[in-house]
Amino acid sequence: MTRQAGPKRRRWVFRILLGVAVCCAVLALGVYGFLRGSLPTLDGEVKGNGLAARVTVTRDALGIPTITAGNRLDATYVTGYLHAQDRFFQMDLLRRVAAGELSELFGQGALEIDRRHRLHRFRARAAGFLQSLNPADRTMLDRYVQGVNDGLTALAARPFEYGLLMTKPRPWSAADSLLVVWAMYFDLQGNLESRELARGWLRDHSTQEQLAFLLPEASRFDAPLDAAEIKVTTSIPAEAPVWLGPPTADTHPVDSQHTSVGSNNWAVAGTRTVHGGAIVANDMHLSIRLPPPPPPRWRGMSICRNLHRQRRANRNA
Amino acid sequence: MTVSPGREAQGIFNMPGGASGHPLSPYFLAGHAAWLKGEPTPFLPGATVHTLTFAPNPQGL
Repeated sequence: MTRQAGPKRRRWVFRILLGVAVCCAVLALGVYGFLRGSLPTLDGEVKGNGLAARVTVTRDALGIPTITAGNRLDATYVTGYLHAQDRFFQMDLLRRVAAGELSELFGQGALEIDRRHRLHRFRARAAGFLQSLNPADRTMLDRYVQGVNDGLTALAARPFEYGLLMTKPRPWSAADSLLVVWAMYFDLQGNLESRELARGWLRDHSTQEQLAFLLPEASRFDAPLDAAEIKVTTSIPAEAPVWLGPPTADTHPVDSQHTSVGSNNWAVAGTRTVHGGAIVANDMHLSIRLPPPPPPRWRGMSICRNLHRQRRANRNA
Repeated sequence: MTVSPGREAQGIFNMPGGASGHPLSPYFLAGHAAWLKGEPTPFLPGATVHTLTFAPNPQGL
């Protein structure tokens, strides 16, 4: 009996394994196809809603796009289109960080961040700010928004991150662009709240003399751009603040080599350079992230005006 | 980024992370290695590899 059942069972095991393998292959192909579907369009011709004239986008070996358009509104539309195709998910993260809407994507885990960020009411502020935006700026912002949404919907598949989260991207809005700008507040000034509370506490618990020493207006490390020099007063107060308590035996120097955020920007006058031309430089000091920092903040892009087209348009006018 | 206005061809620009956030894109982490090694990449765009044209679509505004 068992001897007869052997080959039969082996055949079935083989069939099941084959079925599993086929399913895995189909699944892998599906995942790969889905991933490929959200790749940006790099060549060919696409339709641009509301463009006044044709716009060309070239990319070099590093993928840095150069947009050549006849006017600023057209260039703005295409900028939004490219941003969405290359980085929509990261744009989405930025607007959500600022508005406190991360838990809508990630659930319970992000609730704490959302609660903290919602105190600032940035989405309500954005809505109010848009009311007072002048019409020309509003038109430009709307062109960007349409570019983003057209770029997003033109992708064959939604950005792959939404596949992982099993959700669909919410369209872009004018307020979202303001939120992206304000997301920077949490990166660079998110610690201001505790800092200001600490300064207030120090003010309430120290004398004027102690306060001048603890919270000086300037130090010898400051090099003001708008004044020849800055007055530095460093006098050690006669008495230590009461809250410091008596000196203890294990007094040790505080390590002040901690890192802090901030970027370097330089402008060097032509009189100080070898070739006689001025030099500008910017070195942003932000953490490296993967996915890389998103487009509305840092990204290489050249925008050129198509002068030939412009001249022709002027002649016709 | 370091550039002298009028001498843009000599300018340098490094973009760690690359132009695309998509792992299958050829531009995912493009230029990241140069930044890691401290090798300057040019400020001005290089030779054209891809060209995309946007044609006006009068219907949709």
